[in-house]
Amino acid sequence: MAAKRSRSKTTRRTRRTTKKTTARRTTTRRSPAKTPQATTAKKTPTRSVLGPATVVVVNMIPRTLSGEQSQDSEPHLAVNPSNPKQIVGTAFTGDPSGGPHAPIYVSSDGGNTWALNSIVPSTTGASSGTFDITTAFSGKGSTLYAGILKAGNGHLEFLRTIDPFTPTVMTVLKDRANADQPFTHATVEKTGKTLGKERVYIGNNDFAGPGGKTATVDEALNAGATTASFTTVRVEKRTTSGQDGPQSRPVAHPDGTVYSAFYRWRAGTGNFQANTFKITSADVVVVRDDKGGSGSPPFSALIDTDGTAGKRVVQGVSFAFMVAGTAATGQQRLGGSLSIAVDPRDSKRVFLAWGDAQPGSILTLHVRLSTDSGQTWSAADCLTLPNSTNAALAVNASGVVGLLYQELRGTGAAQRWVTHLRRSNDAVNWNDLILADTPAATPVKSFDPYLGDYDHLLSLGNDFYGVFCANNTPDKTHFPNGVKYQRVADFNSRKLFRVDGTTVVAPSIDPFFFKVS
Amino acid sequence: MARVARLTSSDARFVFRGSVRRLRASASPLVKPSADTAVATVEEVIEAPELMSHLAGQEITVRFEGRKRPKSGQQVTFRCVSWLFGEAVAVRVIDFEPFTAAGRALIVAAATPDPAARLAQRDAQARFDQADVVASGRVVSVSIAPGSAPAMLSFNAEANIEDRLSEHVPLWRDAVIQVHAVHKGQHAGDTATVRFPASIDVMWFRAPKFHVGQEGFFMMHRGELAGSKRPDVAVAAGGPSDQTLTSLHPADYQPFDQAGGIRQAIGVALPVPDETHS
Repeated sequence: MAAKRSRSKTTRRTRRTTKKTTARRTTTRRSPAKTPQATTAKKTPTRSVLGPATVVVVNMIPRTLSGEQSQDSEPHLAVNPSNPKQIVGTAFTGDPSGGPHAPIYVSSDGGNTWALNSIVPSTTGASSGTFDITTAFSGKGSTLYAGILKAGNGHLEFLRTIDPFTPTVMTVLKDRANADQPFTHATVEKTGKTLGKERVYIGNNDFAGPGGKTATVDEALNAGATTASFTTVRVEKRTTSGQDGPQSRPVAHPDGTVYSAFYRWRAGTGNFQANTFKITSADVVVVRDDKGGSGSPPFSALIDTDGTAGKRVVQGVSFAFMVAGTAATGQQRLGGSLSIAVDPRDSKRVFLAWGDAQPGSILTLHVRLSTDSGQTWSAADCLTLPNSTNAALAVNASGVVGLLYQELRGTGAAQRWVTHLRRSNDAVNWNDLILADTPAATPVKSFDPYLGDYDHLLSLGNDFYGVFCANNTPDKTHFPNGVKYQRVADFNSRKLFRVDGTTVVAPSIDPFFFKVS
Repeated sequence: MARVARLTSSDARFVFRGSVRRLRASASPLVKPSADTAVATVEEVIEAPELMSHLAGQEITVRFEGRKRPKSGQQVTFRCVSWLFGEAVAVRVIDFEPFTAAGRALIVAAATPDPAARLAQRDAQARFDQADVVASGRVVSVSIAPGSAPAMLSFNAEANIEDRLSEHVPLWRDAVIQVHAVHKGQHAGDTATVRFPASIDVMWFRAPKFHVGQEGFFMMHRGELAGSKRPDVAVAAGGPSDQTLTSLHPADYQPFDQAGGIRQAIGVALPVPDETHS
C-alpha cells in the first residue's frame, strides 16, 4: 500500500514537472517527455532505518548556457533558512561575457530551476569568474554573505548583499592578501540581548598568521551593521610545521556554540613542485566557542590534555598534498578533506569527518561523533570510506546525520567518480544513496581542482540540500536517483546540444544541486 | 567599505546592434520591469565571447546602468556585460549610441566577421598596448625561477609568507627566449627572460606555458604583478619584482602560423604560402 501511494505521488510529480518543461521542449531537439527520469523526482526504496527518500537532482547550468563546456568545479551551496525557496550556488563558473562580475547560481523555486546572476566583484577577462568562493545566508531577510579569493589579484574578500536576486553587485566588507580557502558560515541570533543580529564566520588559512599558526576564523558578530567589522581569530594555538592545512571549517549552533575544525600540519616530506609532497604528520583539531565567538579568548572553550585550546581528535595522520591531480587519483588533486556538523537539537552532539592516507586507498574518510561538545570522541569510526574525498556533513532537525562524499572506483579508463549521500539516525546504520556515478577519466581536466577541493551539504528542517560536481553526460545510468537538466540534453543519444538543439556540445564538469527529503 | 567601480565602455564584452522593442519591459521572468529595463532584439552581434555570439535574432532584456535611455524602436549599438542567464538572457548596458552608417562601415571593415574573433582581437590589442616588450623568437630554455615555490615546507614557524604552501602556488618558471626581432619597446641583447606560472591551478591555467623549441610572438609585461597591482603574488615565492618580465594572459603568446592577434597589432600579415613547396 505504501509503495502504491509512493508511485502515485511520483506520477503526480512527473505530470507537474512535465508541464513545467513544455516551453523547453519547443527548443529541445528531442522531447524530454521520452526521458521521464530526467525530469522526475524519484522515491528511492531503501533498506535502512530511515525509510524511503524523495531525491531531486538538478544540473544547475541554465538553458541559455547550453553551449558552455567549462570546468565548473568546486561547488558550494547556501539555502535561506527564512525562505528555503531561495538557494544560491557557486562554482568556478566564469561570467558568460568574461566581464567584471563573477556569477552566482540563483534559484528562487527551491532548486528546481537555476540562473546565473553576475554580482560578485571580479576582473574583466579573468581565468575564472572568481577563485575560491563560498556563501551563506544568515537567515535575516535574504542577506547573503560570501568569502572569496578574488579573480585578478587572489585577495581574500568578504562580501555581502541584502538580496542576491537583484543586479546590485555585492559589497566588499573586507579585503586582504595571502589567505586561502575561505569557508563561509552565517547565522542570526534567535535569543538573548543580541536577538536578530547576524553572525558570520569565515574559516580560512591565513598565511600571515604569526608563528606559522595559520588556521584562522574571521568573525563578524554584528555582520548586518552598515560597516560590518571582522575580527581575525587565530584558532591554532600550537606550534606547526610552518603552517596549517588549507581547510578551516566553522559551524554554528543557534544556542551560541560555534565549532571549527582544521588540520594542524606537523611534518611533511617530498617535493611539492614534483607533486610528491606528503604531510607525514597532522592533527585533526576541533575548537569551540560557547559565546557565539565572543569568548575570552575566542574559540578557547575546548581544552585538550596538554592544557591547550583545541581538541586533537586524532594525531599524526598523513596524506598527500598534491599540486595537481593525476590519473591515479581520477584527475582530482588531494590534500585532505574535512567537515564538521552540529545537531540543531543539541549543540553537544557534533560529527567530524576527515581524510587521511590508508594502505591501498588514495584517501580514506573517517566519521566520528562527540556527544559532549567535542571533549571526547567515539573511539572508533562511525564510518570509514576508502578511496573517497570531498566529505561534507550536516545534521537535520531530527538528528539524522548526512555525509556527502565522492568515491573513486575502478582503474584506468574505467575509473568512476561515485557521489554518495550516506544518512544515519544512530551513527551506526547508514543508508547509501548514490547521486551520481560518472566517468573519472573524461573530460580531461582543464585545471586543478577537477571536481573541487570541496563540495557542500547542509540541512534545513528534515531536508538535506547539497551540491557536487561531476561529468555532465546526459546518461540515465549515471544518475540512479534521477536527474533534471535545464541545458539542452538528449538522454537517448546521451548528447548535449547548444540552444539551437542541433550543435553538439562536448561533455564537461557541471555543478549538480540535490535535495533529499 | 569598498565601493563598486563604475564600468566604462572599455569594459564591454558584448557589443551588438539591436532595436529597442519595449521600454520599461522585461523578456525574462526573473527580471521585474522597471525604468531601468527594456526589451531589445539582437540584430547583429558585433563583439562577444563564443558563448554569447549566437544571440542574433533573440529578444533579450537590457538594463541601463546610466541615466541615458534610447527611444522605443530606435536602432542602437549596445555595449554590455552579462547579467542574468536563465531561461532568457539579460545584460547590463554600460553605454549605447545610435547605430549609424559609420558604425556599419566599421563592422564591414573589421578583419573578421566572427564576433568572438573580434573580441579576442580587442583583448590582444589591449595586451599589446600594455606590454613593455613585444618580441618574436624561440624558447631556448625553461627553468625553475630562482627562489620559486618551496619544494617542501620550511618547518620554520617564523618562515616568510612566501615559504608557505598553497594549492594556488604559481610554480614560477623562467623561459629564456632567443630574440629574433623586437616589435615594441626596448630590449637589449639577444635573449629575453620571461617569467610564467607553470601551475595549472584555477588561478593560473590560462597563462601561457612555455617549452623549449616553442616559436612565436611574445608579449612581456614588466612589473605586472609587482607593487600595488598584485601584492599577494609579488611577495609569493619567486614572485616577479617590478623589473621582471612576465607573460600571464592567454593572448601574450601567439605561434607564428596564427593570424590576427599580435600579428595584426604589429601590422605583420601571415606569410603567403610558397606554392612551389605545396
